[in-house]
Amino acid sequence: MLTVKNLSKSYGRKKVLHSIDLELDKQVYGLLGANGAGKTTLIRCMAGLYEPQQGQVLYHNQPIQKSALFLHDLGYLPQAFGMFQELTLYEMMEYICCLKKIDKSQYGSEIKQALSSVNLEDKKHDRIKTLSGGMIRRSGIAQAIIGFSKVIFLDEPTAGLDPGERARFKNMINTIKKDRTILISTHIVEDVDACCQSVIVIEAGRVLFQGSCDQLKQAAAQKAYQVKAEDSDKIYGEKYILKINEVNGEIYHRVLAKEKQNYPYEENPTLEDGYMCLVKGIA
Amino acid sequence: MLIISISLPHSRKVEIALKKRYEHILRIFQRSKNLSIPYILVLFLSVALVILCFYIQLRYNYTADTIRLLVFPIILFVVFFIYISYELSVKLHDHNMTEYLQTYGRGLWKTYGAILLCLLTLIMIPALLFSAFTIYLYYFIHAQYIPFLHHLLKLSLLYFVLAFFIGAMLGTAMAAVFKNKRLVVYSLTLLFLFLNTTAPMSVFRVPYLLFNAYGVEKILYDVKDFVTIVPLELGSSFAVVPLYGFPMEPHRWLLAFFWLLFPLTSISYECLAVGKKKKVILAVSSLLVVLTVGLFSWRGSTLIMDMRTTSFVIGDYMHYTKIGHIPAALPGNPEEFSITEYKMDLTVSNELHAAVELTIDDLNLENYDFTLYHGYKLKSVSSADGQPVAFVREGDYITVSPPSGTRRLLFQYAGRSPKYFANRQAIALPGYFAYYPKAGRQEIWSNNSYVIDLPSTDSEYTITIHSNLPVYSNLPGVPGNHNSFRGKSNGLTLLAGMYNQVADNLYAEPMREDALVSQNALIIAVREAEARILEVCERLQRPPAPFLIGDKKIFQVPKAFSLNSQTERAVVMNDHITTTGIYDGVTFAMEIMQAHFSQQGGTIFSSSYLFCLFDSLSKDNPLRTTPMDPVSLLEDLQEFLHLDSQVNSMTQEKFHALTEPEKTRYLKAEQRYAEMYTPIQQKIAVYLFYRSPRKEQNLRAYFDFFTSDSKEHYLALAEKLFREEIGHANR
Repeated sequence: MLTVKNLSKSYGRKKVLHSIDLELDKQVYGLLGANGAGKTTLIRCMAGLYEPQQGQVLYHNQPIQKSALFLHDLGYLPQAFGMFQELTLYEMMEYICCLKKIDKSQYGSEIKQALSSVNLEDKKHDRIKTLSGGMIRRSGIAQAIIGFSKVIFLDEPTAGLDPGERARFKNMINTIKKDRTILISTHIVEDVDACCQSVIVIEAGRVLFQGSCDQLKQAAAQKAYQVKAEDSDKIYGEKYILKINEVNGEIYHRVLAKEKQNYPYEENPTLEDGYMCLVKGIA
Repeated sequence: MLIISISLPHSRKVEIALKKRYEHILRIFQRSKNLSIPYILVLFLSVALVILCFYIQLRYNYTADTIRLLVFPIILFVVFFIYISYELSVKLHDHNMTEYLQTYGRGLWKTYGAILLCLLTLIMIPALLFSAFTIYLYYFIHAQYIPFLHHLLKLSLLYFVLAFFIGAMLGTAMAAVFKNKRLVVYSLTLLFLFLNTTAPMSVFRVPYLLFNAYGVEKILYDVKDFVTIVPLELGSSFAVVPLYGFPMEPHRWLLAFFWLLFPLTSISYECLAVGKKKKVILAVSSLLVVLTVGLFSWRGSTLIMDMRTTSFVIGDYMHYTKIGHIPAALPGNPEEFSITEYKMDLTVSNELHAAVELTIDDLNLENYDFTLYHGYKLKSVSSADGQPVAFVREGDYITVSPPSGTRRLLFQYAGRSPKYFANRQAIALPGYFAYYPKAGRQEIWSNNSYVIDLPSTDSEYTITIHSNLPVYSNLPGVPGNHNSFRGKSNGLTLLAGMYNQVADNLYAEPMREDALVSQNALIIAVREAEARILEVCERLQRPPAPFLIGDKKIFQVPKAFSLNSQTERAVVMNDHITTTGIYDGVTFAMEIMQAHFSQQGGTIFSSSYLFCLFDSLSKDNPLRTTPMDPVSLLEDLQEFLHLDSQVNSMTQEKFHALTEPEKTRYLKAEQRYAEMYTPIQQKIAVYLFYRSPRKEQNLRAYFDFFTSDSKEHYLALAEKLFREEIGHANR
């Protein structure tokens, strides 16, 4: 459906994306990567905001720049999102309907559907300036999905949200994901784990992994160990201490190790284990 | 249930969407208190300004000044529109909206479009108010001169509608380009305002004052001109020349369209996400800049109303006295030949482009000297058969060395004068000015004034003028040929713009309000002038013929011609008279008489003479009744003449050579001379020509002196007359 072919992008002499190839279908994708890995640049290239130096993005086998369908189907939530503070939420959505060329007779139903999806229907007559940060992010998702956008790019949608809003966000994604291609860029692994079927891991402008969440977890199979702090030094070979936590008053280290250890490994590695194994070269 | 779906046509959908976007942006504007409240205040101020202008019109009845007052603060409105357009547009950046709007398929561009449409609505309210007022003034004063109505319509479009919209475009473009960098935007806005006022004048003069670098001043003014949206900028006290009207030369329209299109390309560039279109916009924008700068530098003759070294007020003064182009002293360089015929092909576009073929009467000279104002750059001189002829140019003078026997010479040149303008808006080229080659070396400027030096003999003229304006000339028109003239005269005067033939042989600026312009009033004034000339000639017992108006055409020329000039109130040529304004018959008669006087007579003294001669001394003039003693007057006169010789013989070198006590003495003498200058001349004139028992003899004696070529000091005769009178009384 959406194909990224050999995509490279540079800012001046600095190459940010290196020959990216991706295939996206109707499901929810998590785009995982550290800060500065090139997630936003990749999303902007895929949304047609940046022109790549090399390669192209195809939608139904047509370059997105020439595809009117892509423009119609695209919904995009940038990292920094805001709206006209002077308008009410409903008026702002109405304005977006105008820009998205939605038929005037359908404004009401489209807005209602979008706002109810993000649980903001009761706020539709409130001025934007009275909404909380979380509500603004949800309004951003509403603007992205309005008009039944089939391709939705969400760039760091949970950044700055409180736990309650993040939980609400995850539920919302599960509500809207049907028949849509959703790409969520984030560096928070839990978000991906909670609502994405597939994961794309990007590091230093290169795709390290594209597959299901289970496949990514498998990258840490027999490599994740939960050991007491004093035993941590006994882990040999290439290793990475992922977490330090306290269980019943004792300090434990979650260690990712390349080689098999004399400790019992975690039977059910997490997505974070898999991701870190990938990016730390332990997988 | 049967549902019938009626789909609207695409254009209707677009229209509805546009209307909706427009409504939303207007709502944002209304709800933004930092925008809507100042806007309402500005609307109140606009209404107040119109009311003030109307009051001024009612009180003084000077339409040009009223409109001048209306135009005066326009740049402040432009700056205000920059502010509101910037603050409205920058909301897109303040709230991080541009990125996602770009993904809506020109969503950002559509939003900017809606903002511009909203701004257009906002600017149109004051713009239409001002425009309606100017048009109303036309009918209020019963102008009945359609070119003036056209002028006002163009003025409304350029000075109000386009200027305000330029403000809106600049503000929006700055929001698109500089985003929320308010410091940059407001600094640029202040710079823009600064350049649109007269404030830079003193700053721009610094390079000239410090380093005599008037070229730097010229460049600075070029930059200023390029961003001057409303001419006659804030702070300017220059009056509008009725012949010219408000400056609206083609380059001003070019600049207006540039300042609309360049911001538009900047907005488009910022709106387009990627692709070839962005490169195309960049190319178009660059081309626009290059093209506009190119055409702007080709703007040619304009009426520069400020104090720069090339302005119409001080341009020639600076050229001849300060910048080092002192004209060659010309005694002993008389006109040795005369020009019998001129064939001129003149094109008045951005400036005067001329091809002048002249026929000379003396074929035996080795070199021929001509005078052509230095602003006209000579491209070539050739003989009638097209052969180039060698020439040397020194300022206003051209020395041509044609092969022996050459009878006809063709001069090709182009250029301008800061004062005597010729462009697509107006033409003011009086026959006494050397805008075409004149025989011999004639002085153009002397003693801080223009010099009128007319050939004594007539030449035959055949003239074709290529201009978008109907041109008026002293020569008869060639029937069937627009702007073609043929006839004999000693000077060719060309006038065009807001100009008209008022009556037979009478031409004037119809919108001139300080002088007579109506047909009846002018005819009466001219008749009265003629009658008064006859009367005074009878009194003087001198033949009136040389002074009579007769069938001479009379051309009113801009009043501004009197600036820096003591000689242009009236200039009498063989077939026509130019005057800076006819106010009444007596004054006009006096001006005509004065025009015949030799130029060495001091204007204060000769004016006072004429007031006495025409018995026109003001009833309130205390000199009519103040006791006067010829003996003490003679003593004062002798002191004044002594001081005059002292001051006029002083040079910088001589002054530096003086000792300190001598310098102090000299400076005291100079001060005393300045104090005496006007009152003593007026007193002497009033005594000799009004109070003296021998006033009739005195009047005749001075009349003969003024109309002679005598080199004697004009007050030496007064001294002699006083001595005679005292001697006569003693006997």
